Amino acid sequence: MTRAAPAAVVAVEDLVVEFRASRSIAALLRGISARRLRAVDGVSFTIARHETLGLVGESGSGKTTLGRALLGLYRASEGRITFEGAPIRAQKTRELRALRQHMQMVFQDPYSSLNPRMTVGQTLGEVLRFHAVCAKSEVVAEVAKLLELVGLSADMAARYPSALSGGQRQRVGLARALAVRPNFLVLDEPVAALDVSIQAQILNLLQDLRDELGLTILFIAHELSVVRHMSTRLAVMYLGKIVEIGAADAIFSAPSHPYTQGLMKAVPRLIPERRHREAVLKGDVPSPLAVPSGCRFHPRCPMARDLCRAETPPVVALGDGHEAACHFAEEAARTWAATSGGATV
Amino acid sequence: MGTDAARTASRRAGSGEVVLEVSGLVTEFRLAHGTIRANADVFLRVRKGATLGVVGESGSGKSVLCRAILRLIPSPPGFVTAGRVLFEGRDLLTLSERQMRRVRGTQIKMVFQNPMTSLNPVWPIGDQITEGLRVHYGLGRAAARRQGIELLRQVGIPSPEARAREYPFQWSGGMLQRAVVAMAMAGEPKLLLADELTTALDVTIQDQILALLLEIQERTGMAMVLVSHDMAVVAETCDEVAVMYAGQIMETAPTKALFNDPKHPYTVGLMNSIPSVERRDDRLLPIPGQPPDLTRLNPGCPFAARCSHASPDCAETPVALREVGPAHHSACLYPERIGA
Amino acid sequence: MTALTARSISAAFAVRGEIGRWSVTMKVGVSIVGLIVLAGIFAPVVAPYNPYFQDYDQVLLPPSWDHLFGTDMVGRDLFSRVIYGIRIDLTVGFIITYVPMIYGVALGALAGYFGGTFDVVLMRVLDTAIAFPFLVLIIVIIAILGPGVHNIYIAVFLVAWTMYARLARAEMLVERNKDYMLAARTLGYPTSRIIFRHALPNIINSSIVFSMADFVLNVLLLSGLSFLGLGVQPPEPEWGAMVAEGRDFIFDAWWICTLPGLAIVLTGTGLSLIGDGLSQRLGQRHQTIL
Ligand SMILES: Nc1ncnc2c1ncn2[C@@H]1O[C@H](COP(=O)(O)OP(=O)(O)OP(=O)(O)O)[C@@H](O)[C@H]1O
Ligand SMILES: Nc1ncnc2c1ncn2[C@@H]1O[C@H](COP(=O)(O)OP(=O)(O)OP(=O)(O)O)[C@@H](O)[C@H]1O
Ligand code: SF4
Ligand code: SF4
Ligand SMILES: [Mg+2]
Ligand SMILES: [Mg+2]
Repeated sequence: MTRAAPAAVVAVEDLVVEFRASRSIAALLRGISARRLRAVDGVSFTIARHETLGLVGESGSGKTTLGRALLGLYRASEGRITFEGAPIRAQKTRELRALRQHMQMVFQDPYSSLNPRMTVGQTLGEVLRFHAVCAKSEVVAEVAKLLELVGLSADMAARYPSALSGGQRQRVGLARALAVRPNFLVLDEPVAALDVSIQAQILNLLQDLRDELGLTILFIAHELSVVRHMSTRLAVMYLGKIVEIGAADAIFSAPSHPYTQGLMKAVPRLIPERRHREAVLKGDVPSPLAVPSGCRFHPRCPMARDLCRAETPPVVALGDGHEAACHFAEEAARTWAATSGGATV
Repeated sequence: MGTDAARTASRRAGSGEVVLEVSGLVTEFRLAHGTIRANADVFLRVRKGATLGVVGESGSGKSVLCRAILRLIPSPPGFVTAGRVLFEGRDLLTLSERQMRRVRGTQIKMVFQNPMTSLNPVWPIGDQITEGLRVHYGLGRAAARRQGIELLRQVGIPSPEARAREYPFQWSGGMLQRAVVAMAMAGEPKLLLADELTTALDVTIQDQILALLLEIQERTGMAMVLVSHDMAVVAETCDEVAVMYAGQIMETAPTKALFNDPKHPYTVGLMNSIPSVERRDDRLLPIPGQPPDLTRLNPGCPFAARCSHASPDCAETPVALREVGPAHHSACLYPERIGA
Repeated sequence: MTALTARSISAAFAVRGEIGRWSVTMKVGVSIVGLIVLAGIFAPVVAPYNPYFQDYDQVLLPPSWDHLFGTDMVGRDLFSRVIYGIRIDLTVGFIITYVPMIYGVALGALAGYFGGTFDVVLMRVLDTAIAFPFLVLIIVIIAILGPGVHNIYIAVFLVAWTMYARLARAEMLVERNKDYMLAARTLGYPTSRIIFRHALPNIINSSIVFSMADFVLNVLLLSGLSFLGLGVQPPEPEWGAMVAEGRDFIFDAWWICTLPGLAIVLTGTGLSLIGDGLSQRLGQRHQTIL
């Protein structure tokens, strides 16, 4: 088969990522296997070229784990990930090293994502030298160019991270990821730690770079407004599974999974009026070590029925690639349209 | 219902009994490379049953302010060098450490951003919640235990009798945050300082915690200071808002006035930076430039270098809060330029 | 490896503009130890006599301008012996402190980074080693191997790395999960580079601070063992051995055991002061990073 470059930059099929609880020496000697926590539990999706897929979900739902697995930082227990048609296997270090020039990550916490003992220039220079991005003699000039690309002045190169603000650090993290000229980026909550005005600067910068460099992006966040601003498509995770996926506009206008609807309703509005309503969703996110039977959202779902407790819901196609994993997805969508629908969102 | 509405109305008019009044507060950190004025001449007022939102740039001194009120600034390098913190008529800055401990234990509580760091990992949660009751109110073990379980029930923990015996690692982040709130509620404080209480939480849990706090406030008439950088959270929950920048209060107003008719260029900049969930904007409008170096502030308006309305004299003329409307104060020299 | 460690250490000290930020403690400590080290290096110039030369006309002389510390029972100049003793005590002390530190830190860092079976086994070894008092273990090993400096090296090398491994492992467990370490992996750097170039400078502080206290204990250990006859053998001018030799004359010639003893105390004090200064300095930097 002779195919041009596949349309999907990243394809994930039935991905499972597990963590093992640490074992004692006695357990090790007796060969007792540790308890397993499924942080990502059977997830499939693709990301098309030049697309930005937003990924939202509760804390602990497995977003970071998924993003890191895509880069081969965690090993897939089951399922497969391909990048530009090539499989990503965490255990194949050499294979990965070549691929990593094309895929990079920006981390959530600007305070721990830079080595405190290296200046900005050293951090960026190391990447350039190690991957032989440019001639040795041009490293200094290239560092200056990178800094400029992310809107920092070249004299920042001499600074240690401790002398930078959170927003500046996040820019350096972005420059480090861009240094190898990747075409796929995983952005793990890149603005969560920043205040709104710096956040707006970084989001604009990301948009510019995306258009300029033709990047494909997985954008992880828990703030819906930020995701809406950045993404073309959207995936919603709950407890290790994707519960809804589709075009961002479609999901924001017609969320069809009760959890997504809960998320939308729970977002605080910029309306200066003291709220007089109860919490949208009751109860806590269950532990991934004790996943509820049937639909894993049922203990908190306002629409839950007996079927939900007994059977895992199928993935319901709602047209145009919009899918929701709920027994009553269509009904949920109708209810949304009829009631809150256009009014609050 | 009627009294509720009346109370809300009086709160909106800004006429409730003042619980906390901070004036002229200056907090400095004396470091090797210079002195940081983390709070410079801060003024604020919180009324009974009302919530004051504090918003502003990261590093603008919001956390330092909360700590200064409770006299929890690490010293050295930090020093409160001027000002008064009047709590129910008493200046907290003049109290002895012993009296202050009592205030912290019984009347003003503070909750921090990360619940994991405010709970001791090797103590049962129930005991941690009731420790304050036993120390400050001399409650016996059994009485304290009953109280602790009751508090956990109030913050919505299911089967609190059993769960009070569990350890922090057995609880989820949202539950721990509620435990922290329960701990703060023990003894019904008159004032709660909540520093980025919900920042680390996701929206549905944030929603639960905010609903819980508002419900407690309605019931007990507790006053709150809510520090956040989520403007929407502030819009939904606060009666008044103070906007901080570079250690100073730039603007303070009833929430509605602040959002509908801001009178300071920095507040306007903040509002413009926020992406909306309702629609998709092509471009956000961030405030240009970087926050100032707190060791090298010019004598005038700290926002001058980034302000689109600035005149040459802004950087030189010291600014102070001035009344620009009912209960509405701005530290801008030219508030009339906004919107013009 | 040694070069890497050296680089990490120098990075930890970040020499530029460093001295200005030292505390008084640190400055005093560095001055004391610096003077002692200099005296040791230039011993042939500083010491007025040959430390081995026995002058039976000059036996058991009290301190005077000719013999600053007096002479011992065979007429050797004590001051010269104490000065030459610096070479032995500081060199051996340095070796038995920093050689185990190098591989202890490396092993701990590897265990902390990789975890798994290697880590479990290493932890068990550490727990076992720490269950015995350090000194008892050393003495037992030397009793088996026989006295002498070489066997001290072997005994200490066997045991002393465990503390460093423990410290480095604990720090690595925290450091491993920091995002910059993941970023280094994402950038495809080899694991050895990630561990030794990126993580090591960030986890070595506690080991450096601990090594100062360890250095003091090791100088005491060497002189203690020599005092017991298990270490450096006469006629070498080792401080502990000198104290032991003077023991029989304590009433007639107090200076023979007292003055070498003072040298031990002074060295120990200097090193401890540096240790205090370092823990303040490095601890402080830790805070500003956080
Ligand atoms: N290294 C690890 N070892 C064991 N468990 C882990 C590890 N990393 C994550 N987990 C667990 O896997 C689950 C998913 O975690 P993950 O960090 O992917 O969530 P997340 O969606 O990114 O959450 P957040 O919004 O808080 O960042 C959680 O229950 C978490 O406790
Ligand atoms: N212990 C301290 N030592 C030295 N400087 C400090 C200390 N605590 C705070 N500062 C400084 O005081 C200033 C205000 O800090 P503060 O933590 O109050 O900011 P903030 O408004 O709470 O920011 P954020 O939104 O990021 O939490 C900062 O410049 C900070 O570096
Ligand atoms: S399957 Fe049932 S419980 Fe699950 S989301 Fe749909 S309605 Fe709710
Ligand atoms: S005082 Fe001047 S610089 Fe400051 S906010 Fe007002 S107009 Fe801008
Ligand atoms: Mg995450
Ligand atoms: Mg803060």
